[in-house]
Amino acid sequence: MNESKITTRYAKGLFKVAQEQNLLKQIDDDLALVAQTLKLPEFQNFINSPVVPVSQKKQVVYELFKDKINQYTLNFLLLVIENRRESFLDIIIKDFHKLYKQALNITEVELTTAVELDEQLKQEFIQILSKVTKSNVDLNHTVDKEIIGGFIIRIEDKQLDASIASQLSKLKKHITNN
Amino acid sequence: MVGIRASEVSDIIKQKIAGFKTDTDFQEVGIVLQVGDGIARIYGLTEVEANEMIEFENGVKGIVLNLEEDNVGAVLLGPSEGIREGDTVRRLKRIASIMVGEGLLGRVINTIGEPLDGKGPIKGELYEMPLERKAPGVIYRQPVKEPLQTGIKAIDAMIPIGRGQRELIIGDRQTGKTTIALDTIINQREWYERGEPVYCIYVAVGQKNSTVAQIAKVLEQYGAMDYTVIVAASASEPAALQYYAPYAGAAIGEFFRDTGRHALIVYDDLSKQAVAYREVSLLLRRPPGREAYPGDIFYLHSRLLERAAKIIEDDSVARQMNDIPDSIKDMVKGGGSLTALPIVETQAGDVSAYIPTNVISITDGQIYLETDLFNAGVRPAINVGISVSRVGGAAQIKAMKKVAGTLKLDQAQYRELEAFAKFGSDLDAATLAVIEKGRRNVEILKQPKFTPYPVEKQIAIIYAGTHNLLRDVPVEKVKDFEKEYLDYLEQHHRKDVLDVLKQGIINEEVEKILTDVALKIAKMYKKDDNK
Repeated sequence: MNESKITTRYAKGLFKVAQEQNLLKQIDDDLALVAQTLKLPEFQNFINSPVVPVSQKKQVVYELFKDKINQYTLNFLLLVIENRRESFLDIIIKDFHKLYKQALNITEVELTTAVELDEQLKQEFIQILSKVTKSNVDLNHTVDKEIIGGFIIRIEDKQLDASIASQLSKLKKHITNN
Repeated sequence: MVGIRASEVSDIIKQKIAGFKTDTDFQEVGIVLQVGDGIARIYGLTEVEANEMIEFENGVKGIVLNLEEDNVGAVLLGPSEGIREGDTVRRLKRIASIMVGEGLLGRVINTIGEPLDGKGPIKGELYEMPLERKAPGVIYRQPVKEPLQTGIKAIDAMIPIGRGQRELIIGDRQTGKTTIALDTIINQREWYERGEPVYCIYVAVGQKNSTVAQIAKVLEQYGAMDYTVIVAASASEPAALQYYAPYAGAAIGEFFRDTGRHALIVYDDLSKQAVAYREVSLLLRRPPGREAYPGDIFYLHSRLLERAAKIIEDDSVARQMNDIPDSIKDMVKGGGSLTALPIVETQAGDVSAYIPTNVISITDGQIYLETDLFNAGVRPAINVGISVSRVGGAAQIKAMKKVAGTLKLDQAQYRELEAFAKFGSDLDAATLAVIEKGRRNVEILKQPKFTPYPVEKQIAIIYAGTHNLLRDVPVEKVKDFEKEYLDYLEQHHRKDVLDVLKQGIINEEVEKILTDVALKIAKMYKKDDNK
């Protein structure tokens, strides 16, 4: 699996620059913008096309982002295109984001509930989760009526399923067993 | 059916609900990236161990086989329908295993221990045994010393199998490989009745469900299911279940072996298991080697067959055995054994194909079956010349060893001379005698299926054959002679001959009676012939 080696190396390189220049936050925001742009089908086709010459890709990217993002980020994008690794761009961005979170001790937590939560409840969640994970919590909240009630918390690979739906399915299993 | 009152049902449900615990805790999960062809690739599950069981959202289980840098490869132990991309997968935090106990006897189960015979759940206490387990080390073993009687004259006399041995049964399709295995299982009834059972495990890999049903019926009919477990992974099951079925069988066998009892396991057949493993390996993108089998195909079979063993008698040493599962730690006893009879199917008699050579080199001998012999009416169609048992001789009972000692050589000689006889040329008397004796011995070694012979009768008839006592009996009458001879011994000499032979003793007195009886009966056939 050479792909992950490629992406982590680019991500690490950019991360070191960002750290030296103290631009971590800004570059992460820049990359979020690039990632968003990458999701547009036209741009995606253009960037991944093997037919479009490198010089043209570079020019378009330069024109597109020159006023919107930091000089370092722009240089990085041009370098990636120069080296013909543009198809890995989205994964490089993800890897960078991972490094960024690690450096600032941020844990992303996904919270799923059946109903909307008010600000206060969210804050309480964040407080408790911060204590448990001993880090700054970045809470992503989604509403899913299917879980009926309760909540599901997901921290990276760990999941706490306290939803009514899963309790019911467990109860069903318990009764039908034997 | 007796009516069930609604209140009873609701009582049971009430009890169940009362006993239901709603504890939730953090679970390690991953997300399905890709699913299909019986395997799944999963993102996440960073802490998962190789060979660990996992569970998908819809309850289907899987086993982790590949741990890669950015994903986890797992085989499914159920249908892939109902698993979607993005589903969560949960670690079960236990290594792939099967629940084993005496309750399995008489049952037909699948690779993960679920009953297939519709007789309800497995009863009795069950112990968790891992599917993959390291074989016992050198110091926990001893050489084979007790015979495993197959009840087949040709095998018990010339290719004896000892308890703890691994004897390969190899041959083309339709040569009676399964029949030999089933005969052996049926013959263990004698020990079951005596209260020293040899528990049998029949593992059916990649066979038709109808064949498995047929086998179960035969075993039932001959009263062999009382001490037998059938592990079935038929051709319609996912490749992963077929690949793990022999390991599940071995785990069951180890339960008996490590608790100081004897067990016999039949793997029917390992060539189909190898094909199933090749499928799984290729789907997991492991590099293919010869005949597209993966590089570890030899290890697949060697680690399985290495688990057949004769355990040392000393309980205190046996208890120290490596890799004993926690569940049976307090029950370990010495002196147990696990005998393996792997079956391998060849194509057009080609024993030098990849899988057959592998398995031949692993096992302690092979029984080679031939289509030509089978069609010529020699059944079991064992080619005595190239069938061997490398360790079983040590376990053969003394009387049999003495009587059958020259049989194998005699038959080899006969086969060589037989070619000459076909030309119809004039043969000297000595050659003719060898051929005539050989012909009669071939007749003696023929045996219909599902009729195992007790060892004392085997010795008695082989004694008559090797001492050329049948010289006056026409070849086509040998079968009649055999029947009459054995019936006569049974009626008149049960105590003084057969029971003595059974203990493995043969002395002049016994030999004299055997000779006299054989000659007496043979004479009657001679007269018949002259009429």
